[in-house]
Formats: sequence, C-alpha cells, structure tokens
Amino acid sequence: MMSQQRKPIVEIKGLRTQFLLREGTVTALDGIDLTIYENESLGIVGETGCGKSMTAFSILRLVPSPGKITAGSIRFKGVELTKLTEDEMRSIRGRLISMIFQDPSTALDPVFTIGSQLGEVISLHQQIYDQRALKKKILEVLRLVRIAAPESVVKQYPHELSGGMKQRVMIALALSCDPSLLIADEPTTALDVTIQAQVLRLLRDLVNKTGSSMMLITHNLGIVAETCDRVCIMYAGRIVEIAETFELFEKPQHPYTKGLLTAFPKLGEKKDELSVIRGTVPNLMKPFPGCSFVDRCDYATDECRRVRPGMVEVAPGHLVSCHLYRGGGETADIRGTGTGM
Amino acid sequence: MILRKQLNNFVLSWRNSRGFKRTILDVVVRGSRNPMVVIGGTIIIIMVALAILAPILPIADPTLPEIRVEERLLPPSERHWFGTDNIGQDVFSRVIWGTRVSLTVASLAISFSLLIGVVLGLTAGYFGGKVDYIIAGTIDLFWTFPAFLLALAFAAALGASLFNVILAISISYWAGFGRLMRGQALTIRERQFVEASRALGAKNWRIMFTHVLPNCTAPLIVWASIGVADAITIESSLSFLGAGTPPSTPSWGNMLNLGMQFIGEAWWVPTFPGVVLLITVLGFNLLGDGLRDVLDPRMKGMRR
Repeated sequence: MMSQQRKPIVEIKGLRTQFLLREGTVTALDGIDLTIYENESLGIVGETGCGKSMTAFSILRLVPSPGKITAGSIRFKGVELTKLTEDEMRSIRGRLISMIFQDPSTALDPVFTIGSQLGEVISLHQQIYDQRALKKKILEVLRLVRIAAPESVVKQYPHELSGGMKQRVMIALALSCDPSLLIADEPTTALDVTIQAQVLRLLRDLVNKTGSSMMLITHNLGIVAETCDRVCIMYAGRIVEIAETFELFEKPQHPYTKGLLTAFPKLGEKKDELSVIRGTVPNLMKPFPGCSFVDRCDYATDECRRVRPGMVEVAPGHLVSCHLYRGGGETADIRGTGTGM
Repeated sequence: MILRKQLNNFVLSWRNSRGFKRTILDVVVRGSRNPMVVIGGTIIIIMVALAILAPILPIADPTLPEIRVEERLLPPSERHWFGTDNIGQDVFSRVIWGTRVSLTVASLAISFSLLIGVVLGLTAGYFGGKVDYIIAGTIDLFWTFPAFLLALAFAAALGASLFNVILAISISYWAGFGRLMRGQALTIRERQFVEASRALGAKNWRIMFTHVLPNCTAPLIVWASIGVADAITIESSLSFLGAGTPPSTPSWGNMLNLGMQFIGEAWWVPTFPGVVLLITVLGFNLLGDGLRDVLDPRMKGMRR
C-alpha cells in the first residue's frame, strides 16, 4: 500500500515536552519519534492526557506555558522548527501547518461574521487586499468545504450556524491557505454521529484533493479505521505502536493496543460487560525507568520494570515498543523508526 | 514597503469590522424598545443639543462685564425664566452654557480614562504574568483611593483650569476601566477562538485588538455611560468646592457654590442648576442601566 519512496513532511525525533511546575516536572511527551509522510493521513490515538494534543501543540510550537520543548527535534520539510524565531514560526502557522479544534462553537470569534474571519486569515497570509479578489477567494474556500449558499453564510455570525456548519467553516479557515499539514484535534467530538461522518469524509476528500497531509487526533478507533492510512497509538507520553491502519486492527502487537481493541464493542456481538484495561494511567510527574504500561500489563516481567523498551519493527512499517518482541533491553536502533517504511 | 503592507492590513481589518458596526446598529434597534434607554437617551440628546447650540440660541449673555444692580437676584419671570443671580446674570442662560462645560469635561475625561484603562487592562489581562502583576498592582493602587478624593487632590494641586479638571478626573477614574478590561481579557484569552487565531498565525496585538477587545464592547459601553454621569458629578463637586472649573466660566458646580450664599433670599439661583444636573446625571445612569439590560444576553427576553 505504501511506497518506499514517500517523502517525509514532518520528522520528529526524540521529542520531549515538559511542564516545569513548582511541585515538580511533568513529562507530557517522553521521547516521541514520529514521521508523517506527504499526502497521508496519520491517526493519533490514546486516552486523555497521553500527549496526543501536546504532540500537535509542540509541532506548532504553541505548548501552553509553563510547558516547554526540552529535547528533541521537529523537522518540517527539512526546516528545524524548534530553532525558528517566533516571527518565522508565525508565518508557518496557518499557512503551512494549520489546525482544526475540537469544539467549533468556541473556536470562532462570536462578534465577527464568517466572511470577515475568513478574510482576516486569507489577507494576512496571502496578502490579498483587493476587496473583490478577497471576496471571491472567501466564497471559493467556502464552496470547497461544501457549504450550501456561501453568499449568505459569509454575512452570518457563528451563532447563526449549526455545529456541523461551524466545523466546516473551521476547516475552510484551516485550509484557506493550502497548508502542507493539517492537524485536526478531535474535530468531530462535539458533533453528532451523522455530522461526524460527513465532516470526516469531507476532511479525507480535501486532504486527497489538495495533496496535503493530515494528522488526526482522536480517541475513537472507529474514526481512525475510516479515515487514516496509518495509526500511532500513544500511552503516557510515549508512542507504543505505529502501523498501517489495516495491519494494526488485524494484528495488534502491544498489550495496550490489544486492550484498546478488545474494549471496543463490535457490532452484532452480544456482551454483558465491556472488557476494560485494569488500573490507571501512571503519574507523569514520577520518572519511570521501564515501560510506562508495566503496572497494567498482564505480561509484565521484571525487565519491563527496569529497562525502557525500544522500538521494534515486527513487520514492514509496523513498530512496537515492547519487550515481548525482543529479548534485549534499551535498543539504540531508533533509526528503524523513521525510515523503515 | 513593509509599512505600506502594515497600513493596508490595518485598513483592511477596519473594513472587515462590519460585524462590529452591525453590533452597534443592533444595540440601537434593541435599545429603542427599552424604556430606560429611550428616556435616558432623550435626555442626553436634548442636553447635547443645548450644549452645541448654546451660542446660537436666542438667550441672554451668560457673563456680564459688570454688575447690573437693578437686575440683581430677580425671581423667575417671563424675561428671566430661571431668574437672575447676584450680579444680574441670567440663570437660564448660564445653566445652558454650563451644560457645555459639564458635558465637554465629562466626555473628554471618560474618553481619556477609557483609553488608559482599556490599553493597560487589555495588556495586563492578555499577557498575564509579570506584566499583569505590575499593571494590576498600579490599578489597585488607584482603585483603593475614592475617585472623588483623588480627583480633588489632583485638582487642588494642579490649580483650577478646565484641562486640569479633565486630567484630575481621568487620573482618578481610569482604574475602574482598567479593572473591567483586565477581567474581561482574562476570561476571553482562554476562549478557544484566541487559541485558534494563534494557530492560524495571528500576532499578539492583532488578537488583542481585533478579537479580545471587540468581545468586551458591551460592558465597556455600559460602564462608559455610567462613567459620564459620575464624571459630571465629580466635575460639579470639584467646582462646588472651588477646585474645579474657574469661577469665570459658567458651570453647574460654580453656580451651586454661588447660589448657596443666597439660598434664603433667592432659591432659584442654586435650585435650577441643581435640578438640571440631577436630570442629566439621571439620563446617563438610565442609559447605562438600560444598555446593561439590552446588552446582557441573560436578560434577553425577560423584559420585552
């Protein structure tokens, strides 16, 4: 499915994002290695607080204070983002990397019309100051996200639109400058199921059409199965498994992934009680030398407690961070992560 | 070149603020259904019209070069509607000219207060941290003093002149707007559209002035309206105490001060300026209260 020659658009190596609080240091991201290729959609799945959104904010360099990127590199089209000045970063945000937020009803400014908010972004990034050209471009973008009657929507305020419409407008805002990477942070959580399907289909179509890449953050595996080419499972600030979507659903390797998939009820299956993963997420304030999943894992050994597992390539493009798949301890063979596919 | 781009940008963002203009229009339309806004607004419009038209109205000269003994302390009559004062000046005419002084001083003082308060409060609330610590501390320092006492102290120190009165009121009054604006900015900067515009590449000043500020217009309008009423009272009180408008200029406070000396023999000298002062302040307060009802979405539909 995936060709070997795909060009990476974002390469993250050893990314560590920490919050330096008075009570101690919270390690929100603990050594993330992740590559996003051109024209693919990558799903990031994990439970609340596992660092999904933090990965997105780190790429945009918008980690809320007192959070900080303390180690690692993020290369976007070969440019090291962690070393850019704030001004350079600002010209990338919205134009080359764009983001869609979870709740469309709060992500739009309530006192301005849709047209003026779109106009602001477009004129800012594309230097279109001619009113007529700007209006044409605004309508064009609204048509792209399949809004019926864009001429009237332009004059409307956010509260006059439905949730699905607002999310379409957000997508229009994010796509208005043809970004190379679109980050969607749980774009459908605030929408009902039918609208969810529409918005996801729209996102996938637009990404295919414009040739940009998408990073879809969600905790819903169903959404990933429908929308993404590859999936990355995160747990407690670390990546535990990356694989192509089909491969991951068919042959999950990491105990956490397996747990997630069995916890997901299947259609037509009778079950009195849903299976759960026992235990709770570890405290991110305490550094753990071994595997972060060790306290909840049924296969945990003494080694899991002591040594942090490295990434193991169990099949082409399928990486797992678990000692079950290799006897060794901390493997330095991280190179397999970035280029193995 | 860069400057021109910036300028273009700015003009554009103004043109794009059609939403903002529509908000104002919306306020006017909805306000016309609220009796408090209508009454307050009518009073203010009449007062402003009188103030502007004072020089061309067919009224007596408010100031006389010398005392007219035969016209001293005349009671209200057809010739002198509000009577005359101790040097024979027409009280009606002086009240109307006093409107000019009071409204000019009050509106200028509130404009300055708004400007200082909004800029400082917005900066403090938006950036937070050390900036907030310093500005909020300054605001609280000014806020702890009663506005009137502070204004009195400044006016007394600066000396009696119209400009100094405006300055004194602005210095003592801006802290209220600063507090209001800071609080608003603190809540609005946490809203997701601020984060969204940052993710779309907007600069801090752009977010501050095109997203945070327009979201605070409602409380600012209400506070400004009530503030004008306060400023009129402060100006009159300062003049009454002799620390405000110079005695030669007709102002309500001066006339009250003067009239107090003759209240036994000529009640009309202090009464009429006092009543007009009361009505004007009432007008601004009614407008402010009414606008609060109109602009508060929670009050929507409660009173039709």
